[in-house]
Amino acid sequence: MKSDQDSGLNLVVKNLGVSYIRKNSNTSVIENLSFDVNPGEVVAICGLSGIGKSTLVRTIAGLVRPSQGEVLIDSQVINGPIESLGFVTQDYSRSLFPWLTVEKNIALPFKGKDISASERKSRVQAAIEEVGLTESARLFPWQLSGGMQQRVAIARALVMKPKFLILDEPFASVDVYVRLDLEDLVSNLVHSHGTTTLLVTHDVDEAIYMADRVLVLSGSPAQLSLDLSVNLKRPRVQMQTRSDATFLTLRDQLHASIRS
Amino acid sequence: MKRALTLIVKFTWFPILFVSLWEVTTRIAANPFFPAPSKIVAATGDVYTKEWLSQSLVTSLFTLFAGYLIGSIAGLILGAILGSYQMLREIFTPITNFIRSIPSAAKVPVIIALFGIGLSSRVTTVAVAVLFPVLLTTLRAVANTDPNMLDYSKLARFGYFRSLFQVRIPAATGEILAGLQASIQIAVLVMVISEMIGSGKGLGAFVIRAQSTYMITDMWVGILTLGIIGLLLTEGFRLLERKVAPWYFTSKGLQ
Amino acid sequence: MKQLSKTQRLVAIAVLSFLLWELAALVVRSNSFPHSWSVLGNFASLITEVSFWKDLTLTLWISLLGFLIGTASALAIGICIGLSRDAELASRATLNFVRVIPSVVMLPLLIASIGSSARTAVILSAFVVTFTFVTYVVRGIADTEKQLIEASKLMQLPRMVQVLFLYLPSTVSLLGTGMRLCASRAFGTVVAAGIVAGTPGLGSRLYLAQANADTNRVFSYVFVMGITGVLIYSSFTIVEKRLFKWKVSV
Ligand SMILES: Nc1ncnc2c1ncn2[C@@H]1O[C@H](COP(=O)(O)OP(=O)(O)OP(=O)(O)O)[C@@H](O)[C@H]1O
Ligand SMILES: [Mg+2]
Repeated sequence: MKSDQDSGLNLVVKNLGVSYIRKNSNTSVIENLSFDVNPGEVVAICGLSGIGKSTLVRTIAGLVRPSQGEVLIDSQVINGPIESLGFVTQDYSRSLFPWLTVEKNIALPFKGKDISASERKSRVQAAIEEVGLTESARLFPWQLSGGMQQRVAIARALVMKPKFLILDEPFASVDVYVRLDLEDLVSNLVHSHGTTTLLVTHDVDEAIYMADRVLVLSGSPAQLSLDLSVNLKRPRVQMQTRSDATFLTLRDQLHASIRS
Repeated sequence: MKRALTLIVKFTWFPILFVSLWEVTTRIAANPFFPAPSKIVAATGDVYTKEWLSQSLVTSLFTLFAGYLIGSIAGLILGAILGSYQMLREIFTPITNFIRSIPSAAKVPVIIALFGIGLSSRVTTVAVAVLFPVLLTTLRAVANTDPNMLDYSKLARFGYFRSLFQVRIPAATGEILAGLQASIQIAVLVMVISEMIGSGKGLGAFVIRAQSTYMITDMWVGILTLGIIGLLLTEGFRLLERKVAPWYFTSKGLQ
Repeated sequence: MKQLSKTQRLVAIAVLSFLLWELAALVVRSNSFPHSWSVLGNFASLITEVSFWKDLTLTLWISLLGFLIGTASALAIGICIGLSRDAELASRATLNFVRVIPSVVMLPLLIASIGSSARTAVILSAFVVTFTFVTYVVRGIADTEKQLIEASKLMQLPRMVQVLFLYLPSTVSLLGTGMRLCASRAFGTVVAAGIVAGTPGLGSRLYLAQANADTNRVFSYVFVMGITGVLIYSSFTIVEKRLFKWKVSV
């Protein structure tokens, strides 16, 4: 754990099974999956498209009901979304409220919560600054570029100071330069707050660069086929870390595991 | 089996509750204008067997079907022709749009002023009221064919009719059907109005006469009959369109 | 095919309308079909009458009131129904039935119970608008972006906040077509009430002109109603563009 304040929550996934009902028949997507995540750890989840990565994290977030087993966050069984969780999806353009400005989008999670107006204001301000959108606070999401929109989604997830953060392919729709920037941005933010983080990605390099540990899902129904620790020192620096020898071996290992 | 049963219950509990409440309140309130539904149903047989309602019903249905058929077929043909020539389209769209914007009800006095109150005049009214909305939707739908499809039909050297019938019209099916369906309601409305003012024939006239002679239960029978006609036509149209244009529903996965 | 310039188009429209009209007069061969110029003359004198403007304004006010009452109640009812699948199933049959009853058959009932004042027209048009609009609202709620619903669940927004910040704006932004249709229907219903039940306004004027066999007047009124209809329709298009800016660039 690289954080100064160890405030992240731990996660336990126990014998998890998830299935979808399709035309009266049950398709099992995940079966008998178990793993733990320690407080403050950043864990990446990799796997082929359609394997069940989104299903897994959506179940952890409480959006999908498991058909067997259970998910515990901070020793509490999850059966619906909880307040200390932040979630960012790939589809940023569709998860921002088009009729609210950037500022109001970010302030939205405070609605109905018992937090004073001045506190709300300062936290929204801080979140906007953290993601570098001070100039654009009054604009509407559709007036922003893709990368800026994604930063709004990240700020909205972080403004509640989540102790657990889930990112589902958060950078899939931005170009490669923006992507590198966002990777560093998110890495710095979660480390400075000690947030436990699950990052779904199909990009092996991104997984290694950002995570302390990488899980690989494969097979149908999906199983854990690899649990790999990433022993790269922090702070990591894009080009430098990516050409590190350890990085390259890990990368080969992961590629092999995902394909198998 | 059990799922089907719960679904039926979920569909029907409210209408049943609604009718029961209606029955109870009307019995308690005893307002002369709101007879209990059981009384209306009891009166129905009586009203229907009286020659004049059965006659009214036949007259109304004839007006409706004849007017609707003439109006919608004319609308479809004109729309398809005007829609596929840009110059004609540009000139006729505003004219059609204007006529369509005149409330359907207001078209009734015009036709009466010109043709009187006879059966053919009422059929004309319905036909005119249906013609313009159908024409306009068809024209727009045919005009807005996906340019890729049009390119394809040009490359395949389709002639005018081939391209119209095999590309433009099938591609426009959804909107055309929606237009035809919306016109059913317009047709019923216009039919009723044209019967209400002056003619003395048909269900509309029956309802008005019942009201002016304080036969309130009879009036309700007329109102509900018209509602049922509207419902049957709309639902019937839904069944029919699946038969006539199956490609539209399968490609949309709406089956 | 060659493009027409704007003036060419206008001239073509005017000439064609004139020709079609006179052709119709010829074909119909009824001596009551007026010539286009005599209707235009009649129209010119109509728009100098003060009482005409009064009745036009009255008709518009009644329509507006019916429209506002109708859409507001439809929003309230529609949101309640749309948020619960069970409520949607339960009310579907009833709504479908009431919607297809031609509104004017309610008129005899309304006349019998409350007479034929402006109030009757307001009630009828509000009724029509409510039942037309409710379907749009329910569909609008069903079409709310799944991702946004999920986002609001993840943010643990209370139900009321979800309604105010998610379902309402999303639905309203999907309601453009429905509102335009309802505005036209509100106006159409008020006219119909005037024609059938003699409620004050343009409708009853039109009916009287027809009863007096004053065909020129009949056409003048219909002309006015067509213009009004077009104006209502296009003003809604403008309002929609302003109100829902975000939809333009999505
Ligand atoms: N709502 C749903 N209903 C039915 N089946 C679903 C649903 N969502 C996902 N699935 C199925 O579950 C499987 C896993 O889907 P999931 O979205 O979890 O994959 P993924 O690993 O996230 O893929 P990707 O990398 O493409 O996002 C797929 O076969 C998909 O068809
Ligand atoms: Mg996914």
